[in-house]
Formats: sequence, C-alpha cells, structure tokens
Amino acid sequence: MDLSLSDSQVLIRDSVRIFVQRHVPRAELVRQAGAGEVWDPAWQTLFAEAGWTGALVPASCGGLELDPLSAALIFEELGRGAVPSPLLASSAMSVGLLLGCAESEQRDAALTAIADGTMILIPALRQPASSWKGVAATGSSLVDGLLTGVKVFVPFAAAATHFLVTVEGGLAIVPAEAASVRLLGGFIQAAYEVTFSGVAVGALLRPGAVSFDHSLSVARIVAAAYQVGGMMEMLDMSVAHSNTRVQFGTPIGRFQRVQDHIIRLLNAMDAAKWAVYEAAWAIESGRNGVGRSYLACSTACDSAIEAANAAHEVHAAIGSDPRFGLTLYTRISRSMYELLGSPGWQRRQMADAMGW
Amino acid sequence: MEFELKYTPAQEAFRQEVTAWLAANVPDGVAVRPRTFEESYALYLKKRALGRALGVKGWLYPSGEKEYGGGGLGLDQIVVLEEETARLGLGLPPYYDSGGKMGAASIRVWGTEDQKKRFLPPIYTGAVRSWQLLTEPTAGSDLAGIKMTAIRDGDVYVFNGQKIYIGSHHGADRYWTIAVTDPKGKRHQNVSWFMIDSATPGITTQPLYMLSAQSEGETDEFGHKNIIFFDNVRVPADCLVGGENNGWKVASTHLEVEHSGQGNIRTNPVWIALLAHCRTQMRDGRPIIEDPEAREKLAEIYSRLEAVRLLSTRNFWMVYAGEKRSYHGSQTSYLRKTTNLWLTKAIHDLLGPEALTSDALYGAMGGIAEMQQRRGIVEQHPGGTTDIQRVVIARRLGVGAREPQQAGRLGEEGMARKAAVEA
Repeated sequence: MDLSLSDSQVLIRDSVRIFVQRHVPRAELVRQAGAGEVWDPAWQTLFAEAGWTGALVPASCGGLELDPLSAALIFEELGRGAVPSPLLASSAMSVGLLLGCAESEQRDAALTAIADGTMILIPALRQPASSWKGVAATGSSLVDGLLTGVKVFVPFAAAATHFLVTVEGGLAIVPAEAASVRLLGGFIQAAYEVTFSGVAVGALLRPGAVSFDHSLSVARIVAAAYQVGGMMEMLDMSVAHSNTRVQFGTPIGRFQRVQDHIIRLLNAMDAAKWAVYEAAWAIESGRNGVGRSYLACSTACDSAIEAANAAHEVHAAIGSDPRFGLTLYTRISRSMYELLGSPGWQRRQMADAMGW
Repeated sequence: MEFELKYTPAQEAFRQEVTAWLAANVPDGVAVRPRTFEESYALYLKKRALGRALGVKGWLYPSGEKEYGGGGLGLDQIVVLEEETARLGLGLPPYYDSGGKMGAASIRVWGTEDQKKRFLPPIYTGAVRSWQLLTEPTAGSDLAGIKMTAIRDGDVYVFNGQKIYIGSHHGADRYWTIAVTDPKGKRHQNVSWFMIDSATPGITTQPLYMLSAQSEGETDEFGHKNIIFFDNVRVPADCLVGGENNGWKVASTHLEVEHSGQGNIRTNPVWIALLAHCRTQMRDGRPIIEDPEAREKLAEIYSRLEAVRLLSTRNFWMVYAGEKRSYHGSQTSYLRKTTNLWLTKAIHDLLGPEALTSDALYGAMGGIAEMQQRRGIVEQHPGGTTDIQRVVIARRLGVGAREPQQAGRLGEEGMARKAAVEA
C-alpha cells in the first residue's frame, strides 16, 4: 500500500498548477465571465504543447497514454483554477467514447488529431426532453444517411472543430460547420443547443466490445477530479475568508457555526478526492474500475454542490458577487452535476457493475 | 498509488503460521454472544487466556517494542495478524482493553524508561487488562474540566472523585486516568496522567447499562459500563506519567489514538451483513436486492460507507508511512459517528420494522440490524462527541486566525517504518 503520488505525477500536477497561475488568474476568469466569453482559444495550443490534449490517447496515436491518476491530476488542477475549456469534453469524454469503438483508421485518425490539438471533438449526446439513460439511449435516427435533429446541453460546442454524435448503429464524427450552435443562457457553464439539419454523416464508428458507458470510466474519474480541484480551492478560499473577515470584533472563523460549514466542505472534498484516487487505481490495476468510477463521479457530483453551498454560507454576501470569484466554482458544481448522468443514475450503474 | 496491501511470500508464510496457531489456540465459541452471566464470565476468561497466549507470541500487541513484551512486528505482519483474527470475529486484543491500547501508546511517547519497563510488559503480554478513565459526571466533552483530584502527599498521590461510563464487564486490573494535581492551577496546566492498580484500597465500582447492552447484567461486553469511585486512594508517585501538571500534552497523544488517528483498512461488517441479507432474504416474492427501490438505497448506503472506509484507509497509510497528520483522525471519527447514526434510519428505510427487532424469527441480519440501531446512537459519544471532533478539525485547519494546531504525537514507529520502506 502506498497512497503517495509518484515523482512524475507530482511533476504533472505542478506543471498544470504553474500553467494556471501564469495564464488563468481568477481575475481574468471573472472578466471573461462578465464579458460573456466562454474560454480563451489560445489555451488550446498550450494544452497541446503540454500533451494534455492527448493525455488519455494511446501512444500509438501520438498521445501520452497517461495512467488514470496522472490524467486525473491534470484535471484536478484545472478544476482548482476553475479553468473553462473543452479539454474534458474532447480529450476525456470523446477519447473515452472513441476507445469504446471498434478499431478503425477513422477512429485512430480522430484520436491522433485530438492528441496533436488540431481537433476539438465535442460529444453531442443528450436529446431534448429525455432523461439520461446512458450513452446508448441517446442515438439519433438517420434518414437516408442524413442526420437531422437537436442535441442539448452540449458542453463547449462553440469550441468544437467536430462533433461526436450518437446515432443508430454507432458514432458519427461531424464537422462543426455542418451544425448550428446556440449558447444556453442561465446558471450553467458553456452549455449549447446543437442543431443538425440533413447532415451527411459518412461512415460510422461501430461500437466495440464494451458499452460506451463502460468506456467512459476514465472520463468519469477525471470529471470527478475536476470537481475535486474546485472543492480544494473553495476550501482554501473559505478558510482564508474565515480568518480575515471580522464581525462582532472577531474573525468569523471563531464562530462554530462558520467552522461547521468549512468542515462540511472539507468532508465533501475528501470523500470525493479519495474516491477518485481509488477509482483511478482500480482502473489501472484491473479491480472493478467501472463500478468505482461510478462511485467516484456520483460522490464528486453530490460533494461539489454540498461544498459550494457550504462555501457560500461561509462567505455570505460577498460570495454571491460574481466579481469575487466564488460563483465560478458554484456554477461549475451545478453544470457538471448531470454531465455524465445524475448521481442517482450513476449509483444504479455502480450497483450493476459491482455485481449486486 | 497502491490501495491494496500486496502480500509477499514472507507474509503468506507468516499467514500460514498465524492461521495454524489460531486454529490450535482459539477456543470454540469465542464469537458467540453469551446469554447468561455464567456464559459471559466463562467466555471472558477464555478470551483473557487467549490474550495471554497471544502475548507469549508477541501477537497481542504486535506493534509494541519487543524489549517491552510487544511483538516488534512491522506493518506487513500486523496486517496479516489483524486480518486472520478478524476472520474469527476477534480483535487484537480479543477483549475490551481501552486503557491498554491508548495508555500503552501514550506511555511509549511520555513514559520514563523505568515506566516503560514496568507498565508496558504486563499490557503487551496480556497479564493485565486496562481501562481508560476519562469522563466524569460534570466533565464529558470538556476533559480539562475534570474534578477528580490527585494531591501529592509524600511518596503518593491521594485520589478523590469519580469517573463514569467506564470500561465493560468483568473488571480490569489497571486504570489509565487523568486527575487534577494542582487545583489552583490554570486549566490545561493543572492535570496529570496516572497508571493505577485497580486493586488499590478506596476504589469501588458500580455497573451501568447503556442502550447498546443486549440485556441488563454482566453479559454484554459493549453495553456494560461502570461508575468508578475514588475515596482517598493512595497511589505511588511513580505511577505519574509525563510529569506533574503536564497531563494535557499526554492527553494529546491519548486522544489522537482515541479519535481514530491510526485508521484501519476494514470493510464495515454491518455492510457485509446487509448486502448478504438483501441478496438472500425474500420480500414480495423476490430477493430484496432485486427491488429497484431497495437497490437504490443500498447503493446510497454503500457510497456513504465507502467515504468512511477510504478516509480510514488514508489514515492507516499516513500513520504507518510516517506522514504528517492534522485533522485526519478527528475527521474520520466525525464521519464514522455521523454516518453510523444516519445508517440507523437508512437500514430502517431499507428493511422496515425487521431492522428493529432481535426476534429470532423476524429480526433482520440475525439481530445485527437491531444492534446497529442501538449502537449507532450510543457510539456518538465515546472518544469525544461529534461536536468535539469538529472543534478539533477546525483548530487543526487553522480556522479562526489561529495557528493550525498539531496532531498529537503517536510515537516514532511511523517514521521508522517509512525509513525502512524507503530503504
């Protein structure tokens, strides 16, 4: 048993931390959010140069083929910085779906392009007015080989060079210019409606030996890690605020009610963090990683909202001021809650995967 | 990271030695709950005899230093020992020995060499059983508010006062306790720790039965507590551990152990029993686990219990790898207690009124569910209430513009193990 990070994992984590410090200061994120900007496309080049776009892509396709924990650490640090980007959608979710397809030149070409940063492949899965029942249930019908329909809550669709669309019989890679996108307003991060109107999809990527939900296991873990990073930052912000905000002549952290909120946040964060780390290890070592990925993701989704709520209780009014920065994390906690299925749905899948 | 313990050929060989020894030495029926006083006392004597036999092997307190009668074993062997005894429904020690477990850890850190030689071997070899005596009628969470005094009189300290919610059934040989040695001194600077012979004149005991007792009477190891009265009890001065009026520092070590600072890697036995029950018990013509609503509840319970297990595993690794800890012990204690209380309702929801009865025909999980209903409540308080755990966590985090408080010292074995692993 050894629960420490390896030297290379520490190096990866620190390199992402430095990137965030240099390129994504919170003030800039606050400015972007205020200006209605979703992300900075210039980051994509930096992500590709660092190899993060290909973190989970096999080496044979030019990727780093990192172990799940190393990949999770990249996303944990990005989450800590509340860095908004299509990296999770393209380089984790789409890569997971592609790796769930049968081998083909088309699949490997897409993986290669994602790794080198020339393709941002955004999964367009959810159909309007339907509950999440897994990837297989999201398939759109093709009429004469043409795709017509609407996908909703598609993350970072405006950043896409291509969409990965579930259709009957497999997955289709569709150039982004063939679709129209519309940003959904409200308290949700970078979520879009994507409309396909008679788009020719060409050859489909056929499903492989395991289900697409199975092949998303690592994506669930890194998505959870992104939320863990956010919780870490909210904890630091809350402790700092409790030590500097003075009311009734004393730092508010001296009040046990305030302490209780911070402890609620801490417990939510640690429960998710260690579930993520163990799930990553379980995948790597072949010990029911699928079941544990559902446990990690459902725990992180529940925990992130719990943590954000607790952080707001500590910060009171200033926490609700978008200029302060806490709401960046709050919005992420809500936006990611059902990104890969609700926690309840994930727990049901966990029970199946555990063989109960 | 590696979450699983890997067993080397040497460990597997040790496991064979352990299982063979346990098969030859563990008496039948040690995991059966007694129904009468006679059965309870006979079982207690069997467990004490087993403890002494384990002590001869150095397996009663396997991490204790060999020179003081412990096993001097490393984590690799201790884990095997704990796994194999747990398989038989036993812990190490195989009986309630709170003063031994926590007193020994504290003496290792704070005792003089002479005290280590006097106090540790009887504990490590099973010659004595020890209880910790902390709580008083007017001092529960506020340990520094204790009233029992120990006033120096020549070569002895004279004890007067009482302790409550102590120990279990059938008595103990030693008491590990804290008392006020300077009644006029400042809080935290006026208390001291002692290891006392329970046969010292002036000590009397009165039984107390908690909600977790199976029945009133000396049959239950878990629900039987005691009130212990000290009336002019004269204790030799060399039983003072850690120095006069230095007791609060000794308490930091003691409480660190009590607050789950050491962690463990066990799966909750209630969960194992619950899953097995839901797989085999029929309801509405099908196994409970096939009911979607029940399945969802089970998944929720599992998720909550896994959080506790993972943080306990983290603590286990931190202690044995010599990692610096802060809030971790109290956090796990808090989550374990609050989760177990939550679990009472969750299991009630899942199993219905069958969770509330120990009836042989209708009681769920062979009575384990009903017992959990009671223990989930009782276990909120020993070792510090959930509110106290939160106070400790906040202080360790440095909340409130305080310097972050350090965790209590648990001794140097962790650092030694880390060095061995790195070598």
